[in-house]
Amino acid sequence: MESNAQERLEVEWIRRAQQGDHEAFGLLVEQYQRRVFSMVFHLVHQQNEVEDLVQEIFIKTFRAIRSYNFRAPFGAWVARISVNHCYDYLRRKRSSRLNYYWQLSEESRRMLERGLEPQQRESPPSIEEQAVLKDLVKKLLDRAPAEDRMVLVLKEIENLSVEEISEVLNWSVSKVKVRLHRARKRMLADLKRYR
Amino acid sequence: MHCGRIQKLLEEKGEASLSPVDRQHLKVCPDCRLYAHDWSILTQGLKFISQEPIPEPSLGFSARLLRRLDEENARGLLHPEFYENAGRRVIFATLVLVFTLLLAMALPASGPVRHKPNVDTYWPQPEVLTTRNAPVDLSSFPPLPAWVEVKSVSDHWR
Repeated sequence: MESNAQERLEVEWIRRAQQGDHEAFGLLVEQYQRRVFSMVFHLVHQQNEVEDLVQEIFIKTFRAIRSYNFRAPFGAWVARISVNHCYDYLRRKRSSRLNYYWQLSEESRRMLERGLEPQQRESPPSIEEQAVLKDLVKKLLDRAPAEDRMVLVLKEIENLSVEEISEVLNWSVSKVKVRLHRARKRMLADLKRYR
Repeated sequence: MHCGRIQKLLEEKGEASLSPVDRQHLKVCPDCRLYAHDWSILTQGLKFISQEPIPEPSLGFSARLLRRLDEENARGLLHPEFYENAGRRVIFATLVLVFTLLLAMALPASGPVRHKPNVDTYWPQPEVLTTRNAPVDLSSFPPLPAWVEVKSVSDHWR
């Protein structure tokens, strides 16, 4: 009941924003900014760039809001604009495929090697190990092609379902599954290269 | 074959989904063990990244955004679709014009698309001069060329 009222309210804000009402658009921004911040932060990994990117995304959203036709949920529509914007950003700022292994400390390397032992895998990772794992996976994500990164972040970090990803990326469900599989394989191959 | 199936299961459903036989295989197969280890590094790393605190929008983020929208509106930048549509129409009209000109140049100067050919076709017809029954005084004519044959009506129908 409450969600229905919220939905009706949101539709009203969208209609007002479509007529150029900035105040109504501000309410939509309040509603979706956390989700957009999260997505952008996980996609670009540049904390200092996140706010500027989010602002650009919302300006793009306002410019395009007249073309929103209520077919998809507004959140998915905003997510699509966010992902496309981040995709363009990542392609522009594509980090070079230079060797990054030197950036891993000796301790991190040792910790990863220790992790090969089966008995070590059973215990939950310590805070330091968590930091190393995060660092390593972030580096792998940074090196991955932009499309792999998009689909992996949406699935594994933003926890979207395959159907939701297909809506956001405007791909078919089967394409999402294939790309997801390919992205995981590529990440694993990259990790092997590290060894 | 066995390894491929186990690795796919690991990737899609995780280690918990493996049967006891598969688990036994995982213990003895170095390839699958390495795969499982690498896969767990990836999934754990991704999980820890997802648990990181997300940066909060700074104070007054929405207000700054709305101010920027106002500024862009004042400068006429918010609705570029008008200029886009106008530009698209100009380009379309130019393309139509160029295509028409090219078509006009490519077509032959005559033919079924244009009009009838300019060349007049002349079919020579025999000239028949009749004087009906009136008597003709041939001596009043200037001398006829040698190739003109004079026949009377009765000769003509004979």
